[in-house]
Amino acid sequence: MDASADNGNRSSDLVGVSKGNYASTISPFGEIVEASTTYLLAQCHRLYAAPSLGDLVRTEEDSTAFSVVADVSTKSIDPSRRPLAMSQGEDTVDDIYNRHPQISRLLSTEISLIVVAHKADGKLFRYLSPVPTKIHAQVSICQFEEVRELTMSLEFLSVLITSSVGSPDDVVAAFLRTASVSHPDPKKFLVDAGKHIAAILAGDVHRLNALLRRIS
Amino acid sequence: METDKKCEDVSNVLGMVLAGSLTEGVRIKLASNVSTEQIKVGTFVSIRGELMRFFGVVTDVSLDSMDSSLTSIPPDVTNPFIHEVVSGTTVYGTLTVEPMLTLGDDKDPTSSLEGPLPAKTVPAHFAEVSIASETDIEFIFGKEDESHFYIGTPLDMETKLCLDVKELVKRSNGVFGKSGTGKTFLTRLLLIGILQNSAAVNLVFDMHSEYGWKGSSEDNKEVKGLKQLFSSKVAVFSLDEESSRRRGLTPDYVAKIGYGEIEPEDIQLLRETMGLSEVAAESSYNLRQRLGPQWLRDFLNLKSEQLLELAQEISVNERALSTLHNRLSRLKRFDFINESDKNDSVKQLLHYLERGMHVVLEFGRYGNSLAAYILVANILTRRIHDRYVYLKDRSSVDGIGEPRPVVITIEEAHKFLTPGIAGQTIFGSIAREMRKYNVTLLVVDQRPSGIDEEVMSQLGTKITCLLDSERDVNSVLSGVSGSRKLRSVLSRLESKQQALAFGDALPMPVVIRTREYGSSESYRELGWKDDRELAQQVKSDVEDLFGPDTS
Ligand SMILES: Nc1ncnc2c1ncn2[C@@H]1O[C@H](COP(=O)(O)OP(=O)(O)O)[C@@H](O)[C@H]1O
Ligand SMILES: [Mg+2]
Repeated sequence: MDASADNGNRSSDLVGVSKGNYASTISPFGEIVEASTTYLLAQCHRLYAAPSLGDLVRTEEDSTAFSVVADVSTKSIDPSRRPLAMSQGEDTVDDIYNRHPQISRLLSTEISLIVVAHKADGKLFRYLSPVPTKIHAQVSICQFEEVRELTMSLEFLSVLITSSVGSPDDVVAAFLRTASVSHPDPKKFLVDAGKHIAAILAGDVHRLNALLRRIS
Repeated sequence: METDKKCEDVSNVLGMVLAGSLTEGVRIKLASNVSTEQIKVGTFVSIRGELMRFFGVVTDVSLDSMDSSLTSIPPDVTNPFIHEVVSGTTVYGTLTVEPMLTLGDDKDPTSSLEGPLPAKTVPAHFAEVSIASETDIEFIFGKEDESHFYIGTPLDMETKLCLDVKELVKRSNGVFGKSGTGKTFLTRLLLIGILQNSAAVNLVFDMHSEYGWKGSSEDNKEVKGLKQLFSSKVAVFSLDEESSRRRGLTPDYVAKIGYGEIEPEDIQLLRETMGLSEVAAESSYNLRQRLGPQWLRDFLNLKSEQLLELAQEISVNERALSTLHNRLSRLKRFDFINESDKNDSVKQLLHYLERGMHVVLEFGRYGNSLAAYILVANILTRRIHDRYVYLKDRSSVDGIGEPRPVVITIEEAHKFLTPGIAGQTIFGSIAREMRKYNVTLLVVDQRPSGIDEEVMSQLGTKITCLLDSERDVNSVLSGVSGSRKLRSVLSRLESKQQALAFGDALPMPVVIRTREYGSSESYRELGWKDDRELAQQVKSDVEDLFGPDTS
């Protein structure tokens, strides 16, 4: 199953290019199931078919909301029933899923999204939309061009840094590393972004060091 | 063109104004792509305020951080990425700039009708600071032309920076710097500036024979003197014909001084140099009274018995008189002093000056004797001054043209302008009376602290290279606004060919790298033509007159 191939080496991936499934066709990978102006929860159409941490995604309706993947989790659809360990002897994970195809229907993959920007009447605003996205809106991953356009300016970084969803430092670092390849000079992009972060984290050298190390 | 200019502007942006005051200077945060190591004290910057443009010089460079704890827990700069990120943001450089001038229009400096004015306020917060452009420099200091002489370039720039020669010659001026910093080279350029502008004539007391004919540079290369570059406008007088001829020069005039031309006040000036007590020096006045115009000759011819007699006669301490006799006898070693009363050196000198010729008086071997230098310079200057006073007064009565202004250059100026005596010497009065009689000084000295304070304060323009001591720095900068900050600039000049210039001839203080002098290129830029070019010039002049040669 291709979703499992997605776990490892992300850094060389190009957003919207290597993620054949949704990116080249921009078909939605999921649907919003919980929404506020700042935070969205999406459920994947297929188990494990989630974008990676730090990816930029969009929800399409009257206006477009842009958000960043801050946490990905897979759990039982019924909160009262927890999966039980199933492996017998030398089983691989795939063996188990093949033996029990119903598992895929009992589990679901959910994605926590931090809203960072929106587009209305074709114009991009790097701050929150006044109205939250509707439930059941489709979510798809952003294309290369959109990522670049959005990250031309990084004033929304503080939203990611101060958020409490998942591990903010990893989200920021993943987001920037992924976005950097959409720019003609990725190194320069990262340095400029780093300078932004340095200004936001003035007074917290430890966190600044930790975050910058993840980017470099 | 338009876009070119834009690019240039962007790359020159240094940072923005964050804080400061008129008295303390303006604090500027360096942009993150500019390192403190790229900016030197003395750099000339322009600040784009909201309503006007400011020009100033960098007087201090410092390091700062957003957060004081950073000095105890520094960011992880072993990681090159982190190092690059934090420089300019978390930690950054700041400059202190002394605003000097303002310009009304904020866009195109050249479109403003008014010239630059002294800064009376500071730019608003976040005003953009950049290195001054070529256009800025030209607009502020003037473009090279008849009255603007290219004297050097601002720090780290190739733009020509000019002095206003018309303003320069209005008052006495000074060139300072410790030995070997480039005073002589700078002075030579100033003399040329005055010569080319023809605002005044120069009289140079050339102690080391380096202005008129063949000076030398430190690496023992020969450099041309004024006479070699401008032979038709410069005359060289010599006190030591033999030395002049040995150096390949036929002096225009060999100067002699008669004993009768030496006055008691000349002896006063020699007190320190010849080791005379006050009493001994004073007694020369009694001698003059007793012995008449040829007092010195007659005095030196006396035998020791006769001295005793004379001492009683004029009631002077006998030991003092014999010391005086003893010391003054050294003057006999100066061959340029003679017993004749028909010397016309002064007349000749005035004759040249009045015709607009610049005169360099070479001392040859007597340049090693401070006594000879002081004596001759004092005698000649006194006589010229007398003459100018006469001419000037006559012109105001008869309405005849004023005498052509003369600039007298003296080296080791503190010997003439020591605090104790500057009140009485001719040089002191010239410096103090400004341009009243059309005579001004160009004083060249390595120890300005030895010069009378009042005289220093009367100097219109001062150009100073690196100085030896705190006292010298104080004396040069005393009375200058912003002197505390200029001090840091002055003390960090390079040890050669760099100078801080300020005063009447410049709208604001500025550090310059003195214009190169000594290469044939430099001579050519100063208007000199080599033999081939000269022949060419003659040929074309002739052709202009008579048409091309067809024979
Ligand atoms: N403008 C200049 N062009 C070329 N060389 C210079 C210039 N100024 C100074 N120098 C170099 O520095 C040396 C010292 O300069 P000089 O004028 O003789 O010093 P000072 O008179 O102060 O003792 C010169 O011999 C020359 O080599
Ligand atoms: Mg010298």
